[in-house]
Amino acid sequence: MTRILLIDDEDLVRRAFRLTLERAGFETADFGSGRAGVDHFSKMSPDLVIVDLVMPVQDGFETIAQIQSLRPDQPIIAVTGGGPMGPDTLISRVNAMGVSMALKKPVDRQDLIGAVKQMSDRNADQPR
Amino acid sequence: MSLQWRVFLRIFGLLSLLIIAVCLTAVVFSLSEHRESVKTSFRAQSLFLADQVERLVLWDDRVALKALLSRFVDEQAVVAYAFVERENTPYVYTFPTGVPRRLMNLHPNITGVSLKTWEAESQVFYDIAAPLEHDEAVLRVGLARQEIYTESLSKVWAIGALGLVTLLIGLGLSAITAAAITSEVNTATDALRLSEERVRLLLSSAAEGVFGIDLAGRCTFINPAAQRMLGFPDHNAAIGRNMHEIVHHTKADGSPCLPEDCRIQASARSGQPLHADDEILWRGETTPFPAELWAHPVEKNGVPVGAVVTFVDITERMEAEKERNRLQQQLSESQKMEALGQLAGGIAHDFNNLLSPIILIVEVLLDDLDPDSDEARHLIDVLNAARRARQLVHQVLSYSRPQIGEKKPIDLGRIAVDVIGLLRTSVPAGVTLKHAIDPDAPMIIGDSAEIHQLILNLATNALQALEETGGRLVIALRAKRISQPRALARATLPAGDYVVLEVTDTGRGMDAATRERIFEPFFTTKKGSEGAGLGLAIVDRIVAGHQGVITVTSRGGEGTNIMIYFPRYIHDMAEDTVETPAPA
Repeated sequence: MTRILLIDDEDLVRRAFRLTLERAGFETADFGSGRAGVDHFSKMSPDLVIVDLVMPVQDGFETIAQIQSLRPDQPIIAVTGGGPMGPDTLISRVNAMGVSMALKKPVDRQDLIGAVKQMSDRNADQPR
Repeated sequence: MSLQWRVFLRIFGLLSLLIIAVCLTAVVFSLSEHRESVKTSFRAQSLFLADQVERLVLWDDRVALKALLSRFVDEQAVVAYAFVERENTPYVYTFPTGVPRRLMNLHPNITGVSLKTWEAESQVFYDIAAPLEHDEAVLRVGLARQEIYTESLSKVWAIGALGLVTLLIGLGLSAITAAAITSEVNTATDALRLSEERVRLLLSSAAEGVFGIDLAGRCTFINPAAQRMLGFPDHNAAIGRNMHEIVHHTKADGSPCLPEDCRIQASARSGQPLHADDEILWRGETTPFPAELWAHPVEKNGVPVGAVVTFVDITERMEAEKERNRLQQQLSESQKMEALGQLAGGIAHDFNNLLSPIILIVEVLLDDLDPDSDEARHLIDVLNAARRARQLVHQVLSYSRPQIGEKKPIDLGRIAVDVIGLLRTSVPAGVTLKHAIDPDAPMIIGDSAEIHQLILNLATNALQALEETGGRLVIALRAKRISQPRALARATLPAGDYVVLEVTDTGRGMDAATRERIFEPFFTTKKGSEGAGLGLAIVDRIVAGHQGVITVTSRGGEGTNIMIYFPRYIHDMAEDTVETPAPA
């Protein structure tokens, strides 16, 4: 079963994502901060990380960088509700970090599940 | 004849007359005084002589008489005589010459002593006649002198010489005075001429128009700038004419400006200076121009005689002011937009987060419900509302999003064709979509995604405007050269080569009030969920980001025409990468 690490500072978002993912049959662990998420990642090595980009203290970019330093080819999905600069700027920044999958909040279940499946299939093709 | 000569002659003439008059008076006075003294002396001598002669005649001492007379002649006179008339026989002794003839005609009947004086032929005679005692005879004694005038002549000569010397001195003084006066006058004249020259130069070189009027409003002088601005061919064409009737006859609002309402003439009459920047003056009596003017009343001995009017043509200043106001408005509008955009961007993030659980959880809940149940239908309403909210946030973000894409040379025509292809499926019945894309239109520098959005937004608006009425939507693209800078409602279009995108619909159009506000974010004429009022605000932002200029022509019920001028791309051989627009 695909294990997903979900990192988002918004409780409501996290709970909704988790509900949706678990209903779709994915094992999900969620954390409200980048630091806690990276801690969990180093212990559990999840198959997929879903990370929000705009977070207090340690933002999504820093979190992704730390995860990538632990495992460079870790499949990651970035999600963002945008910010004062708009979501596109954030997405292009994260694309430049090698994260090709990015979703704009609010996402439909279909889009979320579709993206997760696509990434976990890609992961399955790659031997760990 | 020079001024110095004229002054000299006048001074010298007056001086000469004065000297001559003084000399003549002196001569006359001197002559008469001399004569009087001679007369007095003669009188005494004649009386003495008569006394002596009477004795000698009585004694008949002729020798002594002769000696007496001779002594007189020697001492005093030229002629001395004595004779006795007795029974008409003269008994005469004269010396040295004969007795004047007139003496011989004297009347003999003399009863008392008589003394007479004659002056004639440069001679003075004293004649004494007296009856001799105890005898019928009359004794006559006389003296005559011829040279009294001759004697006076020496004095006359002296006076004359003095007069001449005085005249010579007067001549010299006159010459010196004339030179001094001439020099003074010349200096004063030079100063005056210099001052006049300076005033003329000042008036000629002044950029301001300057003219003078008298109390009747007639032109008394006018400088070249005023002639030019007021359309007078020359100085003389204005002098003496009523300036109010020619250059100030009509007000800014087109109503006649009556002479009694003329503030310039009122200033001249009242002596109150005038400054006005809201006046209209007329050039060549036909072309009005806005002017700022000053009227300076002129007085002579405390009585108003007219005014000097100075003015400048403020057409350019007013246009610049209008342009400044327009830019200011544009700036404040763009600042407002910027602030709104920032705010919208910040709120959008929170909205997106809040919408995420609504959409996801409702979708999950729907799995558990019978799709036909009331609960499921209510939840679908919730889901639709959330999705609509998501769309709104997306638009807000599009608006607030700053330029991030790198601008490259792009083919506007190809993007337009792509968008038209996309639109075909959503064109409502009764609406015809046409396009007139010039395939040879030059490229522009831009962001293809933004241009795509721009055309889509414009076309969407046009289609919505056509929804009720049906009609035609035309999307056109062509090259256009602007040779003169053109002032448009929202900006000035500089001269240059442009690619013009034109979106025209025959829909319901807009009134002026709506047209004013269509680029404001969140301004919408659409009801409820049809639009957030960001479509044209986004268009405006994209156009500005491409250094373009947008114009809107619309009238209620007559459709709308929107033209966007993009500066054409000037091909640089160094960069040959041309972006192919992403498929829509």
